[in-house]
Amino acid sequence: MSLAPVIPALLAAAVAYVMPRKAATKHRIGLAAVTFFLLASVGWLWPDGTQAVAKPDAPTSTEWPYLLDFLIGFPIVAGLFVLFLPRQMPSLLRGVTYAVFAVSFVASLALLAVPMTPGWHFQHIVPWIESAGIRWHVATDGISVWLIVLTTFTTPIAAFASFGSIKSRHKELCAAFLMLQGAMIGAFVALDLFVFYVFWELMLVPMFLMIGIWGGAEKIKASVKFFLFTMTGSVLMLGAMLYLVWTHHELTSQWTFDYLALSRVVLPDTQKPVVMSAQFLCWFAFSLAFFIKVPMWPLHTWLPDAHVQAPTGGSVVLAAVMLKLGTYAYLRFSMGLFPFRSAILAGNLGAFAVIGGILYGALCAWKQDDIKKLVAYSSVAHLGFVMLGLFGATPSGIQGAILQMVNHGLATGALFLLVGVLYDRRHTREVSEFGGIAKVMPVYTVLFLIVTMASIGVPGTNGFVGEFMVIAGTFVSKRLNQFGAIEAIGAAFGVILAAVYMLGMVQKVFFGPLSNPKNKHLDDITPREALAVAPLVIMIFVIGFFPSIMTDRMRPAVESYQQQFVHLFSDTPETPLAARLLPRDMFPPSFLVGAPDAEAGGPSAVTEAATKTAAAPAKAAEAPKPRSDEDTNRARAARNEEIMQKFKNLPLRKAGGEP
Amino acid sequence: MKDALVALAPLLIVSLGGLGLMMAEAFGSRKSGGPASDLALGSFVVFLAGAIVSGSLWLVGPESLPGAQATAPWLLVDRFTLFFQLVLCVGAGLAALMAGGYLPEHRLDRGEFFPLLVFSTVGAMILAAAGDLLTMFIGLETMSLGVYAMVGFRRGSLRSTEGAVKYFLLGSFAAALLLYGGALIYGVTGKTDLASIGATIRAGLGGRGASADLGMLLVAMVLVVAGLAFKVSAVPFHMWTPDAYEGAPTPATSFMAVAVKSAAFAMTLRVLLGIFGDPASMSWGAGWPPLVAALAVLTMTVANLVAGRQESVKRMLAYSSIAHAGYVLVGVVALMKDGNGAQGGVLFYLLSYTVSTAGAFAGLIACGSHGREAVSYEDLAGLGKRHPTAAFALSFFLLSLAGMPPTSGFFGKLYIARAGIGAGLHVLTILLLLNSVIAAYYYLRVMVFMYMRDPAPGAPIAKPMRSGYVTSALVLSAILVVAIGLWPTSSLSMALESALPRVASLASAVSLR
Amino acid sequence: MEQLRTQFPADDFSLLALVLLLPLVGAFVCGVFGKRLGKEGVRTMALSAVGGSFVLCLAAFAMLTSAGGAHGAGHGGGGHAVTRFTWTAWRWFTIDGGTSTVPIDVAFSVDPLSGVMMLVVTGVGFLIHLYSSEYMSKDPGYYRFFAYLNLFVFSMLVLILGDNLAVLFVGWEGVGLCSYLLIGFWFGEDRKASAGKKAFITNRIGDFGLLVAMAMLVYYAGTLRFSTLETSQSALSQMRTVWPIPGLELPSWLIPAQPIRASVPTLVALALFVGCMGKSAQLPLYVWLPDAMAGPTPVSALIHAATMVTAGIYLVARTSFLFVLSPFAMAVVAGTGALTALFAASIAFAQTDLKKVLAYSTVSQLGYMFVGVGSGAFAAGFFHVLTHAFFKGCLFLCAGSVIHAMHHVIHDEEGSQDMRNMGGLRKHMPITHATFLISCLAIAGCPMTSGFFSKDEVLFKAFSSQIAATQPGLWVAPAWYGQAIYALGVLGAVCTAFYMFRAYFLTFWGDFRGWTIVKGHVAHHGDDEHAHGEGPREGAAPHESPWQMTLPLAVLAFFALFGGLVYAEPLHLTALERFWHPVFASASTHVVERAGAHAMMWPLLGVGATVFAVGAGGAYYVYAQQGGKPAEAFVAAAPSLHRIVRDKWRVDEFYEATVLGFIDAMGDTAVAIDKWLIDGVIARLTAAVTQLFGAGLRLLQTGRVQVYAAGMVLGVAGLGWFILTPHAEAEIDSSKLRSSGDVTFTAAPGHGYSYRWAEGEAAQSGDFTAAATFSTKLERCQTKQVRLEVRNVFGGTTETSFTTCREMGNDCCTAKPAAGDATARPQTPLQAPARAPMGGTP
Repeated sequence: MSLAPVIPALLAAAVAYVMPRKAATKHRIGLAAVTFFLLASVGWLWPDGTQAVAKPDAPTSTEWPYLLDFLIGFPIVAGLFVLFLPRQMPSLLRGVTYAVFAVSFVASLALLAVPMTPGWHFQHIVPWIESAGIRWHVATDGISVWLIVLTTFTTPIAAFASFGSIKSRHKELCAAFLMLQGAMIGAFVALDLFVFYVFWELMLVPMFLMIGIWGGAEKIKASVKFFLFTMTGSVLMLGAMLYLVWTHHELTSQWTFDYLALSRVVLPDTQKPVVMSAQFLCWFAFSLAFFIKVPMWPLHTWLPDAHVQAPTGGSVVLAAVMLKLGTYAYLRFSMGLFPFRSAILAGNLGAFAVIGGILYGALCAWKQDDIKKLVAYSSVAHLGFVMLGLFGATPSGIQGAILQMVNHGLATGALFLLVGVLYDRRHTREVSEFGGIAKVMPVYTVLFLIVTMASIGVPGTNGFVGEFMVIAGTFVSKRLNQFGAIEAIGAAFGVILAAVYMLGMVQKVFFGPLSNPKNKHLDDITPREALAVAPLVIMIFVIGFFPSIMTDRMRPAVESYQQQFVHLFSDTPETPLAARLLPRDMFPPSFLVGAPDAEAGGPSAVTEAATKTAAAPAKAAEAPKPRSDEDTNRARAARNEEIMQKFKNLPLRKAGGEP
Repeated sequence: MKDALVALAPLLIVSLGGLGLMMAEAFGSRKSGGPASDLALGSFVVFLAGAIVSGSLWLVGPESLPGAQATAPWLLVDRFTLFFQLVLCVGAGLAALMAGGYLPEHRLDRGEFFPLLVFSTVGAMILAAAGDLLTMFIGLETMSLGVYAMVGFRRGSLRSTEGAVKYFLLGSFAAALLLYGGALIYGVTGKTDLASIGATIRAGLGGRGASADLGMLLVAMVLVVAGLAFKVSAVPFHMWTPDAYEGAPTPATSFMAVAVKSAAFAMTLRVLLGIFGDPASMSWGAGWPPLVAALAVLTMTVANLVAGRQESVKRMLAYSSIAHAGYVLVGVVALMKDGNGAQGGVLFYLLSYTVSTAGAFAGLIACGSHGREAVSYEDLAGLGKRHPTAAFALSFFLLSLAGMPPTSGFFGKLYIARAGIGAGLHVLTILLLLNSVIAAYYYLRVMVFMYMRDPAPGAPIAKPMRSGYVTSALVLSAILVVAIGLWPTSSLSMALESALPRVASLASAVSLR
Repeated sequence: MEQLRTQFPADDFSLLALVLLLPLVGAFVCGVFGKRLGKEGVRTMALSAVGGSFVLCLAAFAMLTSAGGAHGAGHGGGGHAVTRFTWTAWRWFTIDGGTSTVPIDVAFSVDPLSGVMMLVVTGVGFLIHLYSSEYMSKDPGYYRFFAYLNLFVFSMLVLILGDNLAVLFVGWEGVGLCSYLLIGFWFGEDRKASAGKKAFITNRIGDFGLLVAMAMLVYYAGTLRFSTLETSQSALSQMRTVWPIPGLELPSWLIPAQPIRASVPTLVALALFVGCMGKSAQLPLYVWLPDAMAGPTPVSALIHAATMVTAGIYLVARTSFLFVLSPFAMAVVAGTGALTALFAASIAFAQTDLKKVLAYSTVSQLGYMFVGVGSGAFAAGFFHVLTHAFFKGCLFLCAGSVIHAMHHVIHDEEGSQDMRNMGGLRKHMPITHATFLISCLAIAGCPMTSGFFSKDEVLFKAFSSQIAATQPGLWVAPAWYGQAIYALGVLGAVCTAFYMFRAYFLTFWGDFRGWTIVKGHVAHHGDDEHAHGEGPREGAAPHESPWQMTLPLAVLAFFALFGGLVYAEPLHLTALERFWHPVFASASTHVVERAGAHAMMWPLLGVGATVFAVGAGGAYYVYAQQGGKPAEAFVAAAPSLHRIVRDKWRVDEFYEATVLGFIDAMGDTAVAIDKWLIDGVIARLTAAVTQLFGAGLRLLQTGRVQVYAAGMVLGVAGLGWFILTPHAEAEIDSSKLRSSGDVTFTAAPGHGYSYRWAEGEAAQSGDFTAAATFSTKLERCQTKQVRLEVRNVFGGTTETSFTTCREMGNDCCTAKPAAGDATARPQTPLQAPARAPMGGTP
């Protein structure tokens, strides 16, 4: 690693040199710059963050509390601003958009500068609607930070690609992209259920317009379907949310939509049959919304339509980021608010993920003759892996799932970009229309093959690491105990099918005789298009070889969260006769930091740890100001550390035991 | 006495303004442009004044005006009244602005529209303030008569007159029901003012609890509920609504959709809480809550299902206003259980609904011009390309009606749903939420046509009109929608404080799941 | 040597980094800059890369040999002094295993086993690079070819040097990928492209097994490092129930009398072996290898004969300590190997395509290797890998040079590879002929050639040794199993000798059948009219290949001839075995030699010699003396048998019909379900129903005011009906239910309501009172029914009953079905009756 600093420059130069002779200098420079920047940032993240985690009070003080607000607000405001720019000067519109995206990407990198100790970072709390107990509460941790970076990383690429292929109404396009990014980031960082819901709904509209306005022939049907599917799920979630809030109010006589506070509520489930119990229904309402978004079988049918009809950029954002919201939200909210339900249902849900997601999705993908539809179904399969990892709820399973979210974002995003390249040339995506185009588009073919290999998880690309961690995590999982092995094997079997459908398509499209005369004179991928794909391809390899760049930073958060999960559900009585409030000391105190200042402590004996944290939220709730003060931050971080240790040593009652 | 005058200032201002406008209309010099424009301005000023005065009175607080009780029980001046007078003035003011642009554009430039508007607003305000069956009826009729006339304002158009006639016939039918119900109540209790009626009923009809009286009381409850249901146009008492709304000139439609409906709900709340506020009448077993719940379910579902099938945007909006009445009724049912802010929810919903709906109608007006009116979906095809601003305005308010965060419509639904959950009406609430999905479908359909469809060649396409009045109405309501949406705190607390006092604490209410 | 050792200490042996890096750089340069470098540059780059890495390998090997046991103790497993040089690049990722966290490093290590293999890969690889530099010289995709080839060498080295299973897997899939690319090198033809796809997917099936094995090891052993695994065998000695899956409801006929149990090593080993079957083309996954001959011939030589396909054997040898823990798995390995050996040999009889013959013989030889490792003779088995690399590589290259010669005139591939077009080539291509003959002798097992020693060692070990159970209760192969394997092996050996010499004689003896040789005819590629024209082809005599192609032949032939001497047990030359002993030490402890078997060595050698004599002699008689007449006679006698053998027993067709057909059907079903069932119900049906209702209700909106009035009347009537009929509702205050068992019922009030309460089924007595509340007391787990009658002011009456049970949190109420209706739920003090309207829809 001694020559690490030089590597980016060398590779960048190589990339610039390799480009075909006809490529313009600015494209060479652009591509080289992209390469250099990416590799440099990777090198900056290198070596892994473990020792950073070891000493928590290192640069924690550099957390700027308004960073997340900025990441959310800046694109949205910019999106509104763009609406007032003259549509006669598209270059200005695009320029503004690029600038905003660039700024947000750089800003989001700042998130990675701090060691992701367990607990919340960049937390910012502002009272919003006191009467309803709604607060602007955003924060990130080792889990969501990667999805934020993924968002700020892929959305610009999608926009860049769209401007290449879409020629009409750039004004709306810019606005849509900007607002979309803001809303998605908001949904990733919201810790107040209300705020989360707001962003969750808010991001529907731009995507709806994007599909509906710039989409294909069936665009209207697809966009409306997308909107209604998602909205159905989310209104039910809203109902469950309100029930939860109401129960919390009945228990503590305090209104709050705060995730941290609400995760202390255990809803009753004595009702027979149990599916009519409040706990089940609320869990179901939440999960349904998320499963629709993921999408999980059998709620996935909106996805192929949406993907096929959406413009390239839309598909990229949809696949790369929006689907992740479903998986992320399941991890954060379904598992966080209803640990008991999510735990005892994990086995059956895992079966859904394997059979319905991985295998069924792969089979459907194999049978598609529209390339984009094929990729869409392959997303169903990939996200089956993610969900399986989450259901398994082992540290490595969850890490693998998060990794797989990012991987899928990169690989599938790149696939959609490449398919878009083909579509722009031939205006068809029918596999049968092509064949043997590797002769005329060699570079394109190479890129496509690389991405394909990533998508079917060949080791060395990012796909493998995620899949393997998920499979291993599933195998060792106690949640799915007897089924763990079976489901792991099923998932591994999906790896075969992935090769079957991807390679089948690759062969039909790229290899064989160049029969169709229309393809005889296709020109190879242009530097501009290559510029769009290049960052994704680079990251595919970077993550493939150095996944620990990510895993080391997410592990502390994931482990503490997973322990909390196990601890909570293994402690929860099997059938709570009444809704009850869990004592604070059942949570890792770093988790509760920032929770609204409810009644002092829980019914059970409040440990010294709990009293400490009971003080911390007081600070948080009353005055967000001192948060920016260094000492409080450092002190808080340190305290979290030692309390975290204490928490880890807590004996888990029938830990891991299946109820 | 002075206090009373101050307290009744909003009412007086609007009434006098109405008179003044009438004078101006009668003796004003006919200019080429026709009277509409300056009259519209005048009536808007009147409503603005009314709104400001009632708002400031609300802040001052009627309790600081001891003498204000002089007019009780015929006219009650409490926060509830003032809140509604504010809402009504806002709604009517927006309608006046729309009319200022709409009437000249569509060659309906006749001045009497504005006095009618003002005076039926006066009726609505009386209705909101009425604490006695008689004043209530007077207010009701004052309001209705003006509206009947406004519906039939487009004398040339058959639809308009037809709608007016239907509305009049059925309206008088409903008034008869209401009146007969009131008569029965008087017969049972011997009182006409709500407070003492309620007291008598709670006291078991003053010992005269003979079964015949009780039976009569129950019948009266049915009749009154039916009458109210007609006024808020709840299914199955709604059928006049689409025709009347469609026939009426759009500003009148908007006025009916916002002001009339709000006033009707004000009356509903007063009656249900004032007269039938006792446990026996509020019980799930034999009281009005199940009746209203049934009406709510029917109203939401039927209206949404039918709205999805409409070809005319205006008619769709009519049905959507019915559906919204259904949502509010859910909040009304939630009144039966204490302490979940149901009243606040209802009031807030009416406020946000007023601004959103008025905005939507203004948008619809703005999208069309004479001869090229935006009536059917097809007319709107491709509007997003031709006139992005108008299309944007319309879709913005539609999204608010659909309950997209962070618009005001979303918060309205949120509070209603919270009240429903709080009252244990889980299934009812879920139905409400699911209905909002169905509703989203037809709101989206408008956007689909405006942004994603191109007009069929040769088909009539809407051409937006240019009018400072309509534009200002749009801007005004847009500001309100966003403000209420992003910073609902103040308006919500206002609504919560305006809630009517609960006479009896109703510990016993049956929650269901 | 000394400074080398100081430069590269055993635990940070960064020499491996260079060994690996060179081919990678070569691949990168050739692939990316190849077009600009031109053929010369590419050739230099590729050759120097592999050559350089070969030299480095030699250095490493030298250190290995000289080091002896010096570094042993530290790095070897379980006290056996294994010399292992390790180099850890970086921490790849970390997994949480069943008990501990499992760090997975990108680490490489070289020990005697991998050392030898590494030499083979780079050495043979270099020769084949040299060969290809001429063979492919006419091909436009020259640079692509060498990029792939270098990449292959790199991945193969990763596979071999990988210090843990995960890194090995990287190489494992890497070589698969390269073979995919190289088989489909001429992707212009669908047949070749799909051959590549077939290879990749079949290998993927194997990789699936490997993945599962890794997951199991992570769970049970908590590590993937070979060295650590070897020491932590104890963790693996447990039994698991395989079937039925506990907790899974199954139809009774699926549940066996007693559950099927297997030891963890068995499961892991079998899973690993699935991988080996895929990679090393064993039954039933061998089908991809013959098709893989679609690739350029050097590729067939390097990947599909010498190196990649032997990765399976390497893996078994690498994890020998694990396999021997499970006699069952070992038996499976040996059995599969023996069957494959015979089966493939039988197919090779009837093939007329020279490369196809070699391909099937490869499959068959791989079978022998598995017989070796499967019967505990790891050294012998792996030694066969070594010799096979030499003679089979040589054979393929000879075939290549023959095809090269034929190709000058016969341009279509089938023709140029068809033995029926060859014959008499020994006159024209002496070197090729000689080397081919030597390799033929070797593979046929002519005494004193390398093949003889390796194959007969394998067969002898199969005959003599058996695997002892490491723990009670394990299945152990019966005594006859070894002999059976041996018998199959011998049979296969006869076939091998026969069909190899058949190929030899057909190719090199007799008269040339390709085209009529015209003296002084200049064959150049330009004029095709007579190459492809009708009538007999004409052309110059096929000529020997240039030195770049013949030199490798010579070298390989040399090793094929004398390579056996490094491990010739009959001659007591066992250098290689001693060298490898530490690697297999821990495994070989479980391998016992059956009594008196050692005495059988010489007799069995005799058998081996006879086998060769019979096979080769038969072939000589049939094809050299009789010119193939007996064969034709045989074909005439049993045409159907010949046809089916020529069609490879129709295995491909069988798979098409069964496996692929099945998956295909499932795919269609899935799509149908997706389209019609799921989308149909969730999206279309819902939409349709909504629309339908909307339309229906819309019809009511007739516009006739009478209808409207009628609607209102109906509404009033409905409301009235509800209010005029009594409704018996009550709330249950069961807050004290758990503590004292007191329940209080409070009937919903209503104007003029009067109530009558009763418990149980008893008939109502007494008359209606104004008492709206009623309380009762329940015992633990007692279920009570309370009935309420209500009469309203109009005299109408109605009745409801409430069933309440005193649930103590131990589900004692679930027994009674009725309990479900109104089980007390204290969290909300209010309670709906049994048939309460949901959410206020009366």
